[in-house]
Amino acid sequence: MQHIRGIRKESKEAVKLKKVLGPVAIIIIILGVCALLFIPKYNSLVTAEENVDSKWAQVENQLQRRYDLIPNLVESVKGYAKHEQEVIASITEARAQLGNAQTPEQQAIANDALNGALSRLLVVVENYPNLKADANFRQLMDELAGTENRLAVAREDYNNEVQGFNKIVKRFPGNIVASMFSFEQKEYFKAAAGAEKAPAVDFSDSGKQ
Amino acid sequence: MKRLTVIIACFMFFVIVNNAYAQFPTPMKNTYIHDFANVLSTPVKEELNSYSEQLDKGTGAEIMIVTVDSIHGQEAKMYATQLIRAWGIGDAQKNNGVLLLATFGQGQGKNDVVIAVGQGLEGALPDGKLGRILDSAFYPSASNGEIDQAFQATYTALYQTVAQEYHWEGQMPTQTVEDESMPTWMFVLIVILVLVVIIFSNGGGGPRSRGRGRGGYPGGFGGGFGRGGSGSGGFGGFGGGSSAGGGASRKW
Repeated sequence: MQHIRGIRKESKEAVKLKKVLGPVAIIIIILGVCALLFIPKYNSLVTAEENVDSKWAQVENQLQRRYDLIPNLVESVKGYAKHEQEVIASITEARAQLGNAQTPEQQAIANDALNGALSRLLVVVENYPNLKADANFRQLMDELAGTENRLAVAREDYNNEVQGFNKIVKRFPGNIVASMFSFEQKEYFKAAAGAEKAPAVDFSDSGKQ
Repeated sequence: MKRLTVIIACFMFFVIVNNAYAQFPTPMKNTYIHDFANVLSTPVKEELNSYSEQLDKGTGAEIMIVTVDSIHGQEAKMYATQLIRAWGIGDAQKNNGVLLLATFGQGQGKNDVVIAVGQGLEGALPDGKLGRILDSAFYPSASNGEIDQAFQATYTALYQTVAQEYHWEGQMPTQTVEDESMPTWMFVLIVILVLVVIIFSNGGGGPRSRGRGRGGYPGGFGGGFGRGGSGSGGFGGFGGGSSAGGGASRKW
């Protein structure tokens, strides 16, 4: 009888062990599944963030290029149209604003202000045929217009990457991984409504001369 | 009958929807000159196309011309940039595509002309220079209605700059260079095969068979000898190039 009881006791302990082991195994499986879900998400978040950063560098390159081109433009305008102080001042001011801007939003606003000032300049230029025909001025305006186009392209590429990144951050299970490793949603580079169209350079009139 | 009508209706719907979203024209096959507006004469098209083909084979750079009626109110430089991206003009690694695009149906003074370049050629063709090329080469002829001359002059300026950039002399890669690269035994084998074909085919069929035999060789082994190998004058366009937005445009 004793012997049999011992066996029974042992088997009871084995059952207890099994009862403990069962949940542990389940927890391990759940953790494993979580890891399988989260590790690729984490990696794709890191990759997406890298892409956003590299596209942002492109945007900043083009902003810097515009910033660098403006002083030359102002100089050549001053040579022919000294009296247009107002327009010249607004361009210089917008440039300074662009130089001080930090976040994408601030930079977008400053860039719009610069666009506005440049389109006012293009209106003024109509009164100065000599300036309009000046080779240096034309070249600078071409460079500026080309930079605007590059900026628009870079902005679109950047916004696309941001969209991809934000999608991962917002969706399950990316949102859990993102909050665990403090990935935050990225800001779009957005132009204000109505200011999206860059001022067009039209030289057809002076070309006819 | 009813079913047929439904199928046709679905098809029509698909075509209409598809057209509504089709932003760019579909490129023509085997050419670098896409004259959708039908404004260029055939000899000019052929001449410029052969230049582009040579340049592409020699340097990988692609110069394309596109003429359209309208770009539907879109900003010209952006349209051209996106067309370079959509068609993949230029080499995928070097991004050295050049696109000369002009509209003809938007009315005088409202038509666009634009030259867009991939990033790989922005150094050789900066925006300021492209603007000058349009002013000096395109505008004077185009405003007088001499469209062929306008495109020829603009093309020449672009071609010369690109050729200079790659130190390209403008010669076709000759067939003999490729022949030298094939092992002698293979050459002997082919000669034997050709002879066998000639012997077994009677009289008049001979030269034709020989021609086919010769043409077949570069086709079969073309992969090893680069793009120029194919006897059919292989088109190398659309290398998958991109553009970062460089270029200049004018209204004319």
